Amino acid sequence: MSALSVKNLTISFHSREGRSVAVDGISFDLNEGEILGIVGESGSGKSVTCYSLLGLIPCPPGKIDSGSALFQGQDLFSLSEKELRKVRGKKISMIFQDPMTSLNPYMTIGNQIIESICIHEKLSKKDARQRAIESLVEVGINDAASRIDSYPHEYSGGMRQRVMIAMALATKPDLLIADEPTTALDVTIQAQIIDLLADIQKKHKLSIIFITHDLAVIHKIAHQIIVMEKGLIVERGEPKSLFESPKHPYTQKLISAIPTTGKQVENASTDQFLLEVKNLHTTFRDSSGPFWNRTLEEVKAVNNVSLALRKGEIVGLVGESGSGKSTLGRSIMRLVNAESGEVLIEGTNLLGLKDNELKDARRNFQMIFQDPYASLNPRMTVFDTLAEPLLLHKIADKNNVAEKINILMDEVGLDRRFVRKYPHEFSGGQRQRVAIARAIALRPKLIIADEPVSALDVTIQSQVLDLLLRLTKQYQLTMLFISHDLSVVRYICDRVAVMKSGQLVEIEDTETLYNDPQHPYSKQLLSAIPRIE
Amino acid sequence: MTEFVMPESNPETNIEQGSSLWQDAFLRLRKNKLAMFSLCFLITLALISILTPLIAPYSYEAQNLYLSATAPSAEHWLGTDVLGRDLLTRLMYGGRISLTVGIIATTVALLIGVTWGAVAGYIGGKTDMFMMRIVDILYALPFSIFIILLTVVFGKSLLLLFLAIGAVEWLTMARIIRGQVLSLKKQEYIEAATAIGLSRWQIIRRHLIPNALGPIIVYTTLTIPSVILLESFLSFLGLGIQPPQSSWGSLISNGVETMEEYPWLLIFPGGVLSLTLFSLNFLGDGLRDALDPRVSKD
Repeated sequence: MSALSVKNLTISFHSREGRSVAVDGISFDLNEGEILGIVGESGSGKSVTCYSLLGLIPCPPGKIDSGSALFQGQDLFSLSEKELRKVRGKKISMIFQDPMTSLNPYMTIGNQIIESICIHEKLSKKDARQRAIESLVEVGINDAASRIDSYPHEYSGGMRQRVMIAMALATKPDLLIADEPTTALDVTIQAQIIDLLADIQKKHKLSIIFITHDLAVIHKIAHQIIVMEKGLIVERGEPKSLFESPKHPYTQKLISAIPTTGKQVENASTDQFLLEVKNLHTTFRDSSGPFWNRTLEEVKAVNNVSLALRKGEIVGLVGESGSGKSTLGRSIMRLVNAESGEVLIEGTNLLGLKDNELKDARRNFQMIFQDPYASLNPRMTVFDTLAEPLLLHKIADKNNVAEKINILMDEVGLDRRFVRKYPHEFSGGQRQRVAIARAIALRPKLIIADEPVSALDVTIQSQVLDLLLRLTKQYQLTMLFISHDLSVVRYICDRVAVMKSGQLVEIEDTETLYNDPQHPYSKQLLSAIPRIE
Repeated sequence: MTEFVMPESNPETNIEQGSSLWQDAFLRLRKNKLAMFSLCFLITLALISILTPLIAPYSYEAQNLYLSATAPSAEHWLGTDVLGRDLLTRLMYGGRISLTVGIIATTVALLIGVTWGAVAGYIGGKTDMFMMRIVDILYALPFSIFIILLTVVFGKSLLLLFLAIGAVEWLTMARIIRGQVLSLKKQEYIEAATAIGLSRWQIIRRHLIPNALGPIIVYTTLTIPSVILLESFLSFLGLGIQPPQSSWGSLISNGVETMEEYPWLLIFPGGVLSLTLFSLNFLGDGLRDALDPRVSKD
């Protein structure tokens, strides 16, 4: 029996530039008590489809052109706003991507859950509270009775996502829609949340729609998977057959884009050290006032880290959020000030340089940032963005800067005609190419890449990774590659360093580490990688 | 994303450093009819003001008590005031004062405020603390006392008027810019600029201020009218311009007194001021949109 039956759904968005079809006549069924995975890249229409079921698409500009969604004998699209509200949260619950922004920071966890229960059911405050505690216990929050009166900021990211699930379950829904519920979480927590969802689904015979861009995540728990591209369902089937013999080229592309293997290209790394970090400490202080400086809180973001990179090698730096990996990168870049220690690039200690010496030295080490939407100045064209470092360091002058920029554009695989465009006119992958072009414009020796592909779709991700590999080889670049995505790291890095709570716990050749991690934390981290077997 | 068609010209020939934002902005602004109309109105007003001594029909101080407060006629298009002076002439001369005050005082406020706020916000820490406390102290000073103090120390002059107004108006600007810069400086592109090796001042000038232009422009268009009105208040206190000279502010405040008997004495100066303010606001909105490449693609 099907819990939800969507037929011939077409959704379009209208804007000044015209009508664009987000979902184009798709049909699918969700069997009762099963998990349906919807996989696709950004813009494929997967989220729009699910939001439309609950009437959460802003209309206008959105418009449901045709289709029906049969749920318990009712067509969801024909319901009035009032009838829909009875379905929303009560019969169909939703879990959102970001647990940080989905909870109201001014309300206790308990009150938020109780609120959602009391809207739909006539329960006394006391009973509702009891129900809330039960559902918190169910999602694995142990001392729920005492933690129910905490505020969201007192919970960690993973715990907040558990709260979101508890809230969705508290009204005992029949259908759960989970929109990228693990994307914002660390890999070890992601594994826990997925297990939790699978357990709950079995226990309550829930039907779940699980939206994700990550095939490896969904493959473990889904009963059925549909793959969406540009508003169309291009392939559907059971996970096993889908992964073993994908039929549609797009599915094949998605699966092959998942980095599963180790590094193929050998880098010409030498024994000479380019970067040496010695006993680096970086501490963040939260002080009480500007004049008295009574330190309230001290966070040792980087705690006595020593690390050496050989010329021409790519070293991965992995760890969970808050482990200090980004701070280490920024300390080396001197974007944050380290407290003590040494950062030597070819024997020169960066931490000892004066401002004007540092300016010249910056030629040698550049950074690629995580978010290509934030790392480019929105008011500068690509030309201006790339010209800035070239002119500043007198690598080019006004006469030949255009020529140099054209060469850079070629190198990162962008059309030369794009130089007069602004960042917002590019896609995420193209933007990241611009950011890479800016980083290599100065022909640096060292590049620190801080999660350079984690904001990108999986097929784009592999293109950008290949670009990075090609450039490091071509220019004998040394790279520190910071990432939380262990399969990406395995694909690109020669050696991997594992960080936890500001300390480096292990550094080893990639394959040695992945096959035989020594430190207990490395073991835990590696076992949490979602894999496709 | 819609496909972007490149102009035919070779990109290498029309490259000028740093000016592309403004060039593009002007191209976009030209498409905004309301903003262009406002710009034309303001330019006409400015031209009239500059040429006033040559084209004014009468003298701004010549009194003719026989003509006391006559309604608009063929000879006196906008009528005359209580002392029989031609209102059109006085309005034109008033525009010279009011527009000069508006532009110069706002420019002063803009220069000090933007620099002060951007530096305080970007450097942060104790410097920020110190700079913003100065702003707070000046804020706390009652405006009229501050003005009277200035008059006592420096005597009366038009220059002092600009100084006094500018010295007050930059405070709010500094606060707005500081707030903007505080949020902007956490952006990765500012870090990227640091990583390239730009100096602090270059980052402020090339990256921070262009991205704070929206609020700067909006606040500027709000400042000009308030400065024009402030001038009439100061003139009332005896600072700034004195009769028989006129300004829009003083014409309006005189007009208010005789509003019921001679409404045209209020309607015309008030109307000109309102039109100017409308134009400034439309132009400001247009500029803000034009300077943001994300607003419109075509």
